[in-house]
Amino acid sequence: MARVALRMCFHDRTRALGTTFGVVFALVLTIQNLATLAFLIRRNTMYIDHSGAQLWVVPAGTQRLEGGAMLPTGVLMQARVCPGVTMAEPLIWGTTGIKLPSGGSQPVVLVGTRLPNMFGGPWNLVAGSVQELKSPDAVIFEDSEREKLGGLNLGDLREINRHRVQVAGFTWGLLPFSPSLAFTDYDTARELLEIPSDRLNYVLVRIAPEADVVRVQAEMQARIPEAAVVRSDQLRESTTRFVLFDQGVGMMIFSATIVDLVVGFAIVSLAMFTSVLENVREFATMKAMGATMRDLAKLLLVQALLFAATGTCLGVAFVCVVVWLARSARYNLTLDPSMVAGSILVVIALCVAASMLALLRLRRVEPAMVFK
Amino acid sequence: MSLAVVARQLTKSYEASKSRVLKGVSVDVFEGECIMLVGPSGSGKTTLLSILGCVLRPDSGTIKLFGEDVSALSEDELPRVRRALIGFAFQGHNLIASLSAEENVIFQLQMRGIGGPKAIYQARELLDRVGLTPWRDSLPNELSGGQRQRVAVARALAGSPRLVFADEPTASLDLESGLQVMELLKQLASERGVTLFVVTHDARIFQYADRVEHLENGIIVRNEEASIPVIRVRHFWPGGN
Repeated sequence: MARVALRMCFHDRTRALGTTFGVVFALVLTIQNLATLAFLIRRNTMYIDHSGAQLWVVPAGTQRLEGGAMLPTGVLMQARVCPGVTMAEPLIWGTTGIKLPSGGSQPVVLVGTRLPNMFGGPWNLVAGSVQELKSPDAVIFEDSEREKLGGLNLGDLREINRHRVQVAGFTWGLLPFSPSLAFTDYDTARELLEIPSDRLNYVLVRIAPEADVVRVQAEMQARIPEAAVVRSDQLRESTTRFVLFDQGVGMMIFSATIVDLVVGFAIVSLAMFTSVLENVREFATMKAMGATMRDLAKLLLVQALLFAATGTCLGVAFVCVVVWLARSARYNLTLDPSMVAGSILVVIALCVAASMLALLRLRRVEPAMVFK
Repeated sequence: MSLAVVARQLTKSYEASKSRVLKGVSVDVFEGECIMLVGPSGSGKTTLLSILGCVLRPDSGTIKLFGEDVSALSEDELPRVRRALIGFAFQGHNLIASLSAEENVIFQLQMRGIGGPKAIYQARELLDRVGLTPWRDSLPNELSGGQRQRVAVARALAGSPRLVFADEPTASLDLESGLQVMELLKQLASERGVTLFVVTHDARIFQYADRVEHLENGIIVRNEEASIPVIRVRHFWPGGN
């Protein structure tokens, strides 16, 4: 039956191409949508992933890093004295604007971390060094945004919130979903964002390797009731939830993926259904010759798996090429193997379901029609 | 000599035409016999052939094939009977367009549980017998009408069925090709002891029949009463040559 199935596929090349196109279409768009969604989530959780903190002390009700709400500086000391903590550093986080030479301004997210540890960044430096931030008013910007931020070069002077700043270095690819990150010293950041000296936005906490993070979290929460103590994975999860549901991006991409799968399914099932209709006499002949529904199901299944395999190979290759060609600091999709494998499984299931629809039609084919 | 087919009081109506096509047909066919069924268009020949070939169920009546009551079998069990006992040669040959001549024969062999090198060997042997060795890799659309029908004959006899039903096997062929095909069918069937049941309009091939039955208006009539009586038919002696 497998041989017959393959021969039937290759005999009608136009239809086979059309069916394969349906599979490629469904797979490419599914992977692309899911990769875009993963990319958006990754961009939103990028800072949390790279901060190196296991615990965060944040203002109560914080769902994601966005600045605004503040904590008293006293929480920093409370965090430091908590058993199991090896390091706790303050973090300033706020959106501000850099004035452009041509007039107007561009938003940046200013991140203030404390020297000499610089717990919380910057990282991925491509020019300058972290130590440059010791200089007063030094700020490290995102390299891929240089032109957008007014053609920045090392040593350039610019103005942020009516304060003079100097370009001290560049990072690469630190582009969250919000404006690009700009790093500076903790005190400079507080000055630039006009945050009172007894306030900070977050506290980053690193705990001892032998300490139990959940236990330290509970202990710290008990000591700092006016703030929320969250683990990095909890903050990542709430940020992801915000992207997926509160912003609606997730639902939008999810619904687009469903539409892509439905269209792909329609193309594949229509092609397989048409194939049954076009070859109805041949299928009737097979039935007359003794082929059972099980035999014919096998035949359609082999065809479905062939289309799935061909479409999957072409689709994955196409996606890889597109992702490689489109890669940039701003749009850097990565193909997670489990996501690709999941998409392939969904598309295979789609092809099998399409073949089963065709089988339903085949059930109604009477072998006696061969004599008509 | 035992009976290959015993059909009793078969009736069949079609909903679409709202007419009874078969009105109580009874027929016996001996093993190894070549019986031809003739009759005017619409008389129910093909319906009878379909019912005896287990691809259509009668409204009433019984059919026994080689002693097994197939009329009592369920729809799902009939493919097993067709696989085990029956071969078909269709009017329009009905070869699978995407398979070569050899693969068409192999398909039937596989249906009968014969696969691998044995199936290839048997298919080639049969195609050699019908004179198609040079065309065994050709697709049906690369063959002439006569060649296609010869492939259909080879396919019908592949895997040694005990009963072959042929529906107008010579209808679309010229005189010479038609006689060649019928000659082959008859010869190969005789060699293998296969019972042949042929529905035909073609008086040229009556010479190959052991018996001719007339079906008119859904009933079997005697030769003398038939609208087109058959003049020249060999006599079939059960158990004889």
